[in-house]
Amino acid sequence: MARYITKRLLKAFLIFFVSITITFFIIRFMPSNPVDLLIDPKMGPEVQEAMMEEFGLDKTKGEQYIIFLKQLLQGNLGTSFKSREPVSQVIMQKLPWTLLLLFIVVILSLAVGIPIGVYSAKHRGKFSDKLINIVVMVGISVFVPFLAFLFLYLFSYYFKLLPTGGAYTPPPAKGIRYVIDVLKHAILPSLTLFTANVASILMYTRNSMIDVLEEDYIRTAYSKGVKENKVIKVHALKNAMIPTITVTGLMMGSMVGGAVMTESIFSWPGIGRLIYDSVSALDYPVLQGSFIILALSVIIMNIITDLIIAWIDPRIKLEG
Amino acid sequence: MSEIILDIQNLTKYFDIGSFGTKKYVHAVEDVSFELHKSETLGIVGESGSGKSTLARLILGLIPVTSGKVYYEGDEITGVKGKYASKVRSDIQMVFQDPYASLNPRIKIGESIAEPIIVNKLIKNKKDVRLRVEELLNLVGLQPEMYDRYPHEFSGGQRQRIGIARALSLNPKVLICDEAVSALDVSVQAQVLNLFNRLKDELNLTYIFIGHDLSVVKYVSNRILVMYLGEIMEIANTEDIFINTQHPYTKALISAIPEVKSKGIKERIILKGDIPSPVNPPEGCRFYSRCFKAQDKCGKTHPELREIDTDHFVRCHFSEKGGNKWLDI
Amino acid sequence: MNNIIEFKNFRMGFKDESGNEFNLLDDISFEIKEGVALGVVGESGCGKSMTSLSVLKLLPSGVTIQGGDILYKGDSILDMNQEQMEDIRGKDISMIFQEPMTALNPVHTIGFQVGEALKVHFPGMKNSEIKANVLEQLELVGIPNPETRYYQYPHQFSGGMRQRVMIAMALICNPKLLIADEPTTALDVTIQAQVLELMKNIKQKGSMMLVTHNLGVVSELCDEIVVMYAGCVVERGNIGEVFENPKHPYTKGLMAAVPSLDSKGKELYTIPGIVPTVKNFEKGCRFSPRCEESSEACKGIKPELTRVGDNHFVECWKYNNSEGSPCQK
Repeated sequence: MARYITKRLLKAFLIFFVSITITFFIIRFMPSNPVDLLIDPKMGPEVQEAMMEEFGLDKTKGEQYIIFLKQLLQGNLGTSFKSREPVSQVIMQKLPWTLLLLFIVVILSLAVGIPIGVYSAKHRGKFSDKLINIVVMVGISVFVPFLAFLFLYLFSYYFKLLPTGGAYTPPPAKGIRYVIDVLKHAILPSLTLFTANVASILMYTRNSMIDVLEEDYIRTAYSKGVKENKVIKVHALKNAMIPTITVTGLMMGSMVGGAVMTESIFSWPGIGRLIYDSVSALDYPVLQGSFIILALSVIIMNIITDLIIAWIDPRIKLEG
Repeated sequence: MSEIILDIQNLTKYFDIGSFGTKKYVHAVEDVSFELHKSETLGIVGESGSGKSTLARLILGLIPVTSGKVYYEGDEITGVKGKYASKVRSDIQMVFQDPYASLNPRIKIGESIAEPIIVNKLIKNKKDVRLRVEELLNLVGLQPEMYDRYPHEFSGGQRQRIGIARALSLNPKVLICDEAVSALDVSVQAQVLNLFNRLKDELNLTYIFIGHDLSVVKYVSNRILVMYLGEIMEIANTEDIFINTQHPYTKALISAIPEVKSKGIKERIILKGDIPSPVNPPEGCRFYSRCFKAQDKCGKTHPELREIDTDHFVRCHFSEKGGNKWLDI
Repeated sequence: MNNIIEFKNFRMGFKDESGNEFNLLDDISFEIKEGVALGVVGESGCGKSMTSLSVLKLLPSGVTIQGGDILYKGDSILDMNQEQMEDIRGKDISMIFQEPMTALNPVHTIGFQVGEALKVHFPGMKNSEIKANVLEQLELVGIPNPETRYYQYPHQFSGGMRQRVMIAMALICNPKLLIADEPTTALDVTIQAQVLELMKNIKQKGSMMLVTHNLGVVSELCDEIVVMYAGCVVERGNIGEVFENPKHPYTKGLMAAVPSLDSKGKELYTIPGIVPTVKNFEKGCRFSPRCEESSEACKGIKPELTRVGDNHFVECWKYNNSEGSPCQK
C-alpha cells in the first residue's frame, strides 16, 4: 500500500510538472503583449519599460520559467497583472463558487443518472428505454452555450422567474435570505451543466448495467432465489458502478476549470469565468494559476477515483 | 527408429513477471529435451501451467527461448532469421484450438487459405493459387465451392478443417496441433481425428499433438510426453506409458479419465490439492506437493530425467526398470 | 419412488425478429425420481442446458413455452408465479454452472455468496448461525481453512476451489434436487477427478440432474441417462441398460465416436453430416438425415417413445411395432 501511494504520487508529480510546463509556454507564446493592453499610449517608453520589468517580461522566456518554478516551490503563484493582487488570493476568491456549482451538478447528475440508467438497462429494448436513449443522445450532442442561452431566455427573460447572472444580488443579504438568493442564481448554470453531464452518467450506467446483467453470476444469484430488486442492488450495481465512477471523476476534475462558457454566460464568479477574463486581459500569472488548480484537481480526482474503484473491486490490488 | 526431424535440446523459457527489482519468473518450460522422428506422432499431455503450449511456440520460434536449442533436420533453427527461417517456418506449421479466432471474419475462407501461399510466393499465377486452395479444401473434406464463403457460415468442425487446410497450404513436414480437437463435440472430434490420421498417411506428416485428454492423445500418438509445471515427467512409447506406467503423475492422469464402463468403477487416484503456480517453483521434485508416493527425499532433491528402459525416460527417484508395482495403491 | 421432477411432453421455442416461431425442445418427457442421479447427455445445441434451465424457469428472454408441462412434486412449475419460483430456487432446487470463473460475483466474499441462499430463504436466521452453516459446508466440500477462505474473494481461489464453492453454495439449503450443468468441463484433468469424487459423495443426499457432453462422467455418477439430439429425447433409461445395449442409432454413434483407451489403431466411427441448426430441423425424426438406418418414412413423422426394456425407452421407428409405424409398412 505504501509503495502504491509513493508510486502514485511520483507519477502524479510528473504529470503535474509536465502539464504546468506545457501551459506555461503555451500562454507565453500567445501572439500579443499583455503590456499593450494595460498601457495608455500617452505613457512614455520608460514607464512601459518599468512595467515590463515589474511583470518580469523583460527577461527571456527561459528565465521567466525558472523564476516561475522558484516561486511555485515557495507556494507563490505570482501577482496578477490586472488587479495587482496575489494570484493565490484571486483564485481563492473564485474557487468556492466553482466548487459550489460542481457539487450541485455532480450530486444531481448521480442522483438522477444512476437510477434512470439502471431502470433503462432493466427495461432494455422496451419503449421507455428507447425514449430515454433519445433524450440521452440529445443531451450529449447539444451545444452547451446554446442551452445556456435557451435557459436564460426562457426563465430569466420570458418568464422572469430567475436572475440573469451573477452569484447573488448586490449588496449581499444576510443569513438565510443570502443562501436562498445564491441558490436562485445557481439554478440556471447548474441546470445547464447538469443537462450536459447527466446524459453521460446515465449512458455509462445503462451500458455497463446491461453488460453486468448478462454475467453468469447474475444468473447464479437468481438460481439462489434472490429477488430481482436485490439481484440488481446487491449483485449488479456494485459491478456496474465502476465505469460510472470513472466518468464522474473525470467530469469533476475537468469541471473545476472547464465550465468556462457556462460560467461566463451566467457571469458566475468562478474559476471558469476567471480563465475567460484572464485570457482577454492576457493576465499570465492568473491564467497560469488557474491551470495549476485545474491540473491539480484532475490529478487528485484521478487518485480518488482509483481508490474508490479499488475499494469496490477486490481484484484490483493497490500494489506497484 | 527413423531419422530425426526435430531435435529439442535443453529448451528453457522463463517469463519475467517481476517488477521494481523483485525477481519473479514463470518457469514455463524447463530443460526440455526430446527428439521427434520422421512420420511419428508425439503426444504431449499436461494440465494448466505445464508449459505444453509454450513449448510449441518455442519450437516454432514464435517466442524467443531463454536457453536451449532446436535443430530441424540437423540445422539449428533457434533465433535464425532470414530466408532459411521462412523455409523452416513453412516446414513446421501449427493448428490451433480455436480456428475461428485466427480467421478474419470479413475475408473469404479460400482467400485466408491462399494467403500463406501468396505471401511466400509458392505459386504466382492467381488461377493456380485458386486451384491449389480448392485441392486443399478437398483434401480436408470440404467442398471446393466453399472457397467463396465466410467463416461464420461454418460449424466448429468445418472451421477446424479450414484451419488445417491453411496449415497445409505451405506443404509442411511437421504439424503441431495445439489442443486442436479440444473445443469440438464428440462426434465432430472423431471426424477431425480421423482426418488427422488420414492426412498423416497421405502427406507423410510428422505430428506433435498437444492435448489434455489422455484418451484422445493416446488414440493418435506413437509416443507420449507427459509434462508437469514446465518439466518432462515421463516420455515413452504409448503402450509403455499405459502398461508400464512409471511416474506417479502419469498414473494419476490415466486414472483420472472418466470412461464409459458398464461394469464397476475403476480405481481412481485422487491427487490432493491444486496445481501449484509455475512461478518460482520449489527445489525438489515439482510434483512433490501432490504426489501420493512422496518421500522426504523428493522434497529436497530434484530428480533427473533417467532412461529406465529403452526409450522410456522418467523423472522420479523411485522408478526402475521392469516393474511399476510400487505405484499400486 | 416419487418423482421430484417430471417433464411431460414439454415443448419450447422462440420467435425470431421477423416473428417466425421456431421449436427448440420437442416433446421432452422424462422424470427425475427421488434419490436418483440422472444424466442428460448430448452435443452442443441439443438443448440440454435449456432443459435444465427450464426446471428453474431461468430461461433467457424471448423464449416461449409451446406446450406440455414440468411438474415439481406434482405441481406445475409453468403455472407458478415469480414468488413461488423464488421460493423454490436455491432452497428445493439449486444449480451449479459450468464456468466457475464467471459464475461467482467478483465483488462479494465467498462467505456472503455461499450464505446468501440461507439469508433469502430463512429470514429469521441469525448471522452467526448462517456463518456456522457456511463454514461447515465449506469444510464439507473440501475447502481447506474455511475460516480464512470465508472472507476471501473469488479471484483468490483456483478453478477447482471455485467449483467447490459453487457446490457448497448449491447445497447450503439441503435441496431436494441439484442441477449440475457441465460441472467439471472447465477444469484440469486431475482437478476434474477431485470434483467428480466430491460429486459422488454428495449425490446420496438427494436427486441430481447432471447435464454434460461427457459420457464417461455420466457413467461414473449417474443411475439413469437421457440422451438428447436436436431438442428431442432420443433414448433414456437405466444407465447400465443404455450403455450396454444402446438402441438409438445416435446413441450408438456417439458411443463409438469417443476414442476410448483401447480404440487405438482403428478408425473412429463418425456420424455422417453435421448437427442441424434450429432453423432446419427435420419434420419427422430429427436425426433421420444423418441416420444410417433410416428410411424415407422416418423423415415424415416424428417417432414415439417406445419401451424396449425394463427401464429403457427409445424414440425411433425401428423399435416401434405399433400401427402407423412407417417401418411396419
